[in-house]
Amino acid sequence: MITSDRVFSRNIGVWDRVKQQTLADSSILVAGAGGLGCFVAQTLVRSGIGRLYLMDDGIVDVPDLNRQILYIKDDLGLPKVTIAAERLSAIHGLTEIIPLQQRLVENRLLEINCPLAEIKGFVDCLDNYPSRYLLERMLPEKAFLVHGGVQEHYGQVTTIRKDLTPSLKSLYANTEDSDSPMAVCSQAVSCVASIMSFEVLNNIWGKPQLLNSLLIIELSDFTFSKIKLGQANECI
Amino acid sequence: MITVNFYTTLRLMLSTKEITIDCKDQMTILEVLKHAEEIIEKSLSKNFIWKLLDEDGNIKLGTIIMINGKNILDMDGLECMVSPGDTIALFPPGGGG
Repeated sequence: MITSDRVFSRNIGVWDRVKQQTLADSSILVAGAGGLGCFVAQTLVRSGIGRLYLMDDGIVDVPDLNRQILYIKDDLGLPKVTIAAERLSAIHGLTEIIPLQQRLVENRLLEINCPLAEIKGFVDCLDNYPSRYLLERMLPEKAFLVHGGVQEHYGQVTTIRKDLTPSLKSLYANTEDSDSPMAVCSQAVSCVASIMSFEVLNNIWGKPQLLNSLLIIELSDFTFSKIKLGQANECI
Repeated sequence: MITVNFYTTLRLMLSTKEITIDCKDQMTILEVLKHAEEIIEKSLSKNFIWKLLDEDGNIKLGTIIMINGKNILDMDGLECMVSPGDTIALFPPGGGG
C-alpha cells in the first residue's frame, strides 16, 4: 500500500519527519520542462513536495532525448508539460502536479493558473536569459528563486532573493543568448539539476546554501567552486 | 596582489586554476587581463584574452568577468578599477536549461 510514511521513509532517514511535512505543505513552480526541469521536477516529487506547478509551452523534439529524462521517442511532437505531468503523477500520486502549457509572459497570465501567493519559490530551469529575467521580475517578495544553467559539461547554481541577494539580471548583466544550438550532455544536466533540487529543499527549510554565492560545477575534472557574490547594486 | 581565477572551459584550456599579479597600485580590469595574459604566455605559451574579447576589444557574448563577485558589465566595464587584494573571476556561464 502506498502511504506517505512508506514512500518517504528513506527521505525521513536523511532529514526528519518535520522537514518531510514541510515539503508536503509547500508549492513550487518549476519554470521550464527541458533537461533541468525534467530532473528537478522528478526529484522534487520523489522528495515529497506537496504541489508542483510545471510551466513550458514546448513540444518534445528529437534532440531532447539525450537528456530530458521524462520523455521517450513515443512522445515526439506532444506537449512537454502534458507528458511530464503524466509521468510525474505516476511516481507515487502524493504530489499534486499542475501543468501550465504556456509561455512566461506576464504576471497576470501566470496568476490565472498559479496563485503566486501560495508559492514558496521558483526554480529557473529556463533556457534563455530574457525569460530568466522575466521570471525574476515575477518573484514575490520573500519567495526564493533557485537559478541554474548548464552547457557542455559545466553549469552554475545560485539562490536569488529580492531582499537579500544581487539580482540575476545584475549577475549576468544582460548576457544574451547565442543563436547556435547549445551543446550539452546528460551528465552535466543531471548533476546541476540535482544541486538545484536540493537547494530548493534547503530554501524551503530556511537554510539556503547558495545565498550570495554562485556554485560553478565542472564535470571534466570534477571541480566544484563557489564564487562569493558582491552586494546588489541594481534594482529589478 | 590581485588574484585571477579561471573557471570551466577557460581553466581547462589553460590547465590553470588561478594566477596572481603583484601590484601596489590600482589598475583597470583590462590592464589586469593583459598582465595575466603576459604571465600565462610566458609560463604556458598560451593566450586567453581572445576567449573573452572580440577583435574590437568588446566583451564577447556569454563571457562573465567579475571583480569581487560583481559583473563588470554591471559597473564600468573594462574601465573598472581593480585594487590590490581584489579577486577576479573569469568564466562563461552555462546558458541552457
